[in-house]
Amino acid sequence: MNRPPSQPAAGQPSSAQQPSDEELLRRYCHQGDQAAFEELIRRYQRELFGYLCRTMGNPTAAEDVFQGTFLQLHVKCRQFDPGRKVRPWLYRIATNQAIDYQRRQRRHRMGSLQQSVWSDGQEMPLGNLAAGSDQSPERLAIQEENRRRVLHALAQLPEAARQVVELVYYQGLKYREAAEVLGIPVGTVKSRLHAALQKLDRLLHRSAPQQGLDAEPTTHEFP
Amino acid sequence: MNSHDEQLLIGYLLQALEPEQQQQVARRIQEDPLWQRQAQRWRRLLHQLEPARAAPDPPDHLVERTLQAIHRKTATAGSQEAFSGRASRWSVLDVVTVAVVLALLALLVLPAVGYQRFRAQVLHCSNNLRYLGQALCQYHHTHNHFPETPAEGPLRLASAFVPLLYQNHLLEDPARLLCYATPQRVKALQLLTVEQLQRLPEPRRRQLLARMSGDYGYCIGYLGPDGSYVPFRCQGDGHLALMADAPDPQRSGCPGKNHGPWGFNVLYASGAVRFVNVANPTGRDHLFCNRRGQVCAGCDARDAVILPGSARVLLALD
Repeated sequence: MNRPPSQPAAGQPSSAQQPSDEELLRRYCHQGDQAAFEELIRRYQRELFGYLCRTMGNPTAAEDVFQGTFLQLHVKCRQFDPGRKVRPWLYRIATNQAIDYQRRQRRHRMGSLQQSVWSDGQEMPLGNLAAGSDQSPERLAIQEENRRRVLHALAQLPEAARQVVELVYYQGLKYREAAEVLGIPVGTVKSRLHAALQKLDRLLHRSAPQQGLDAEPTTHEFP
Repeated sequence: MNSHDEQLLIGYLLQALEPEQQQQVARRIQEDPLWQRQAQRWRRLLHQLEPARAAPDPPDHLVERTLQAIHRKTATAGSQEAFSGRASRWSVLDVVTVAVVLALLALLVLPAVGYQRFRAQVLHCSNNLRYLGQALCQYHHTHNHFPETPAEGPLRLASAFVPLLYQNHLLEDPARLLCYATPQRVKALQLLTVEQLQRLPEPRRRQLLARMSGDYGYCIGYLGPDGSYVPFRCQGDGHLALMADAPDPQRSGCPGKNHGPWGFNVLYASGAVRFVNVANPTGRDHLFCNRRGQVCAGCDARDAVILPGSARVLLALD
């Protein structure tokens, strides 16, 4: 799974004793088990909040949408198809909530990656974003510069392509799950991601120098 | 390597494929140097995006705040359904307002539509009568009187004028005799000459003749000073009523239902057609009975009596 090894994947219980997301939702829906619902929120808080921060570009807005997402889950839990997975459904709700929120705010595009309020050092100090807080100021500055460059390139992608990159690359969803979230065929997800990555490659080569990038510590290793 | 293979390779590197596909691509990379080079290239590309992976930690007590928010909103709305977008889009007031607006629109539009349909029907009917008026006029030019409805013999019905017009080639289209001309009604209306009618056996002859004047009535003759039955002639009196929408055969002396209870069309000897309002009739005497109030021949040359085609011509009531 495409996430730091320290974080167990939401939806995949880390041990055999822990109930699955689907079981938790079933308990809440049919037995009114509040603890199950709280556990579900706790499992997804880091993953979903990160996704929403990246999507909304604002931790305050992300929190509003996060709450709205679980409110919808609470309201519509009886509509959940027991044969399916909770994770794509939750992402779909969150994505729709984010779109609704931005419409209400009269924003026509997800300017998150462009504006990136949480990255400007006011709401979220730079040190919190770095992989290791004991790094030198120079390395932190290089990392921040690289991060801004990637965010800028991502912001230049079309909305549909950016959603696919966000879900498959950053959130680690499978092609099938991303297709379910976005309501499009799996083949469309593949082709959009392929095209988006090629465009990102061109954009990143055209932009700032690569110095320091290779040396940057990464949270993820590809197979 | 085509784009489909590259999409599989990207899916493998991001672990976005299904488990079987993951294994297939892994084997392919092990076996094929080209796939190995491409995998290396895509790893480098994907690695460039890593710096943007960092996201802020969720704020403290996010779970508790989310639960509180849900509890608060549930308590405010009172029910789960109130949170659905559909419920918030349409309030009862909206529905009532829309219903009132639609009702007002219907009140404004429907009567106008109904009135226009009614006017179109009246106009269509008056055109038929105008056409029949021209046929009657031509018959008069030839015979010096309007078609006669005999008071005796086998054609002793008010519709006897139709065979006369038909055999003189003055009326060809049976639809002209119908106010509501549906194809079925036109087909059911068979035009015959006097000779053809006389060859038919009695019940059949009477049945066909009774239907032949369609939706219109015709004026029968009058009793002359010597008591003889006389067909009408044009004597310069344009106000003489020749034809009209057929009166109701069930209610003697009452207009029929071609145009509902509002009125009926009348064809005058001048060729004019007028719509006479039942509630406010303009004629001096009754069109559907004679001056003595009887449904039989007129009292004099100015007393026209219009009968439905199926009515027998009577000289006087016993």
